[in-house]
Amino acid sequence: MKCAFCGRHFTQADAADKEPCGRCRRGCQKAYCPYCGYGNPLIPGFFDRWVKDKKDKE
Amino acid sequence: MVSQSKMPADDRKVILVGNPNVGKSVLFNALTGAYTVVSNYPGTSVAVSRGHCEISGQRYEILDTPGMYSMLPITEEERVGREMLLLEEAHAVVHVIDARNIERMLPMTLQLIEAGLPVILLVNILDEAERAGMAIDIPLLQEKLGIPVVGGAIRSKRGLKEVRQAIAAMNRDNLPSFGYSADLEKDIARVAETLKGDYRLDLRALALLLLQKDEEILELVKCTEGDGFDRVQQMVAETAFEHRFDLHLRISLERKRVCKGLLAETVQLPDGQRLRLADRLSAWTTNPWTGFPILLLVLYFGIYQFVGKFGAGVLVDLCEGSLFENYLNPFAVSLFERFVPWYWLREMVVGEYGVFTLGVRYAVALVLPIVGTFFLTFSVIEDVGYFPRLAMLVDRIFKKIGLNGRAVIPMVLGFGCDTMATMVTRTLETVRERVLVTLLLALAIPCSAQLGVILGLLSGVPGALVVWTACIALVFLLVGFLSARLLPGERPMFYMELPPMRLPQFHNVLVKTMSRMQWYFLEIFPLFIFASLLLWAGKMTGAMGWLVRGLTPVMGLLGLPADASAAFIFGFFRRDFGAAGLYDLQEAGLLTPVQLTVAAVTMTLFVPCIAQFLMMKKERGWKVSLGIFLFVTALAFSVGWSLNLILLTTGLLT
Repeated sequence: MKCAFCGRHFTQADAADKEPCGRCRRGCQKAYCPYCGYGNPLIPGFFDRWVKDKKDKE
Repeated sequence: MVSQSKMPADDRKVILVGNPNVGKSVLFNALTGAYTVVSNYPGTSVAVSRGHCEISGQRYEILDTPGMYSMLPITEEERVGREMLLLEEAHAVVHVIDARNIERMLPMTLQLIEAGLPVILLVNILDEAERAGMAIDIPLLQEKLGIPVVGGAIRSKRGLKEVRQAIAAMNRDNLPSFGYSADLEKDIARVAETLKGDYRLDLRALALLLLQKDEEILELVKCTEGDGFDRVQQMVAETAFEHRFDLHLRISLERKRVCKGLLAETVQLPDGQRLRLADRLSAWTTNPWTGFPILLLVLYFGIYQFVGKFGAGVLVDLCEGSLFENYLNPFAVSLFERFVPWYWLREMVVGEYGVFTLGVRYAVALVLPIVGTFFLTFSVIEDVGYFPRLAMLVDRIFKKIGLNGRAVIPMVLGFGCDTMATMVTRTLETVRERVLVTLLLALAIPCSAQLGVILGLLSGVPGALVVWTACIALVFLLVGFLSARLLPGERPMFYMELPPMRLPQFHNVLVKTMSRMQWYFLEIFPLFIFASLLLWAGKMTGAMGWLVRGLTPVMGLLGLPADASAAFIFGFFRRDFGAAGLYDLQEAGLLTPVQLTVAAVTMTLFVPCIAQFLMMKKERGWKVSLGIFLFVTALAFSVGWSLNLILLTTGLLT
């Protein structure tokens, strides 16, 4: 995944603070960039698949 | 294909390194052909590709490392990349960089050279850089760097032959070195002199990594030096203490300076200073003279017009005013009145604080259109690459309030959700910064829904929005300025590489907006239902009336009607819930322009919601969080009281 703030690439396994803050029942659905700490939204599976289908068609 | 097969031991190793997406894998495939081996690096889940090729009769093993940005690793992939560089005995290290981003990527070439590695620099994607108007003098760059430099576009095989020749001709005997400023060189030499062990890495590079607090290198030195480790550690600590300066930042800036000097002569833009529009726009956004007007334009069109006028105005009118008020609510109320004889149940579902008439209406008709438009604007601004430039722009102002540009990250995230932003404050370098940002988030950063409702409400009253903006900005700067002077602690510097600016990608924006809306809605919907049930229970038991009566004198001091108490009570459950309460008061015609402005300012500054308070307690502890809570509450009502007096005395907004 590419950080929307610093533009660097990282894997979800490398995302900092993987443990959710606990205030949201489903977690905050963010992957925190290990380089700058920015919270990037985690894309739900069906949106991700939809984007990939679109890109494949293009 | 995944296997663990081994290469013959006498193959010379060639390691490909570089940032992600610069064409390392294309080069790997071009060099090795179809027969490659992909396996996890021992002890990790990081996949590493290995293949082989023959150049002038010599067999080479080619290793494709995971993407890395620097020799100072942060992610597991970077750690593996560096370990490969340090442990594999490389005949050559090919550093692949993107010609279009040569300035950002060249510092890593210097790091590789510093490490004493046999580096070949491949300036890839040169065709696109040339199309964009760049001209890179490859022979001159080679001369200046003192290592083989190849310009190419490997996807079209341009430069592949030269890379193969450079690998074959690599000579480890004549490796160059770069000098930094005299005082930094003195520091490096002092630390290097304390190292007595036998290392594969150059001592100078080792000293640089030690000065940058690289924990893995520290561990390596500890094991190698044994009893002498204390001497090394003491020298590193002394050097850091003498300068009272972030050495990591200082070394990065030095490398930048060296690279800038190198590129000033080797990279040229033809036709004078013709820059791409994106580069020009990027420069404008970080320049204070042009950056602040651009910021105002972004806020005016993105937030005020789109979120405030369109989201909180047009869309909310459509959903709340037309759909709920005219159709859904009357239908639900009449249905319950006809078929449900129990007063308590009617009240619970369709009453004043009913689950449907309050909870569902607030969540679906009020908050969702506002956060939807806000997240859309946010995703566009984010995708363009504006946020890191905003961080650079406000860095100077933030320094006045004891922060730096890095604090933009939690502040920006705070507009989405202050609770999550409070958690992100842990990424700030010093405790002082974390406390300051936590305070400012609790005080003056409204969440998206609160901001949208307030913008929607105030934009209908001439002058109210200006007063609200001025009050919040003044409180933000004044509290930040005073707290920075009262709180002791370090003042770290801020520096970051700016990613390129680009046009927003439709798919990215859409998917991110939908993801954020889905997260927000699924999160708030049950909470809104729960809050309306709690309020209903409060009404049925009389506790709500007691709370409202308790707050009535305070409302009186602010010049607000007693009914406004409910909105403030809502606000403590969730900020957006409170703002929605304010919307109902305004719709019912219970507020004058002065009262509306005072209520909006007080509610924005008012105590953080329960979730944010609990997060503050978790991150900062009871003492600090309670202190912030009491300070924010007292300040919010004091500002509200003063503003009411000023507005009534001056006759503004009346």
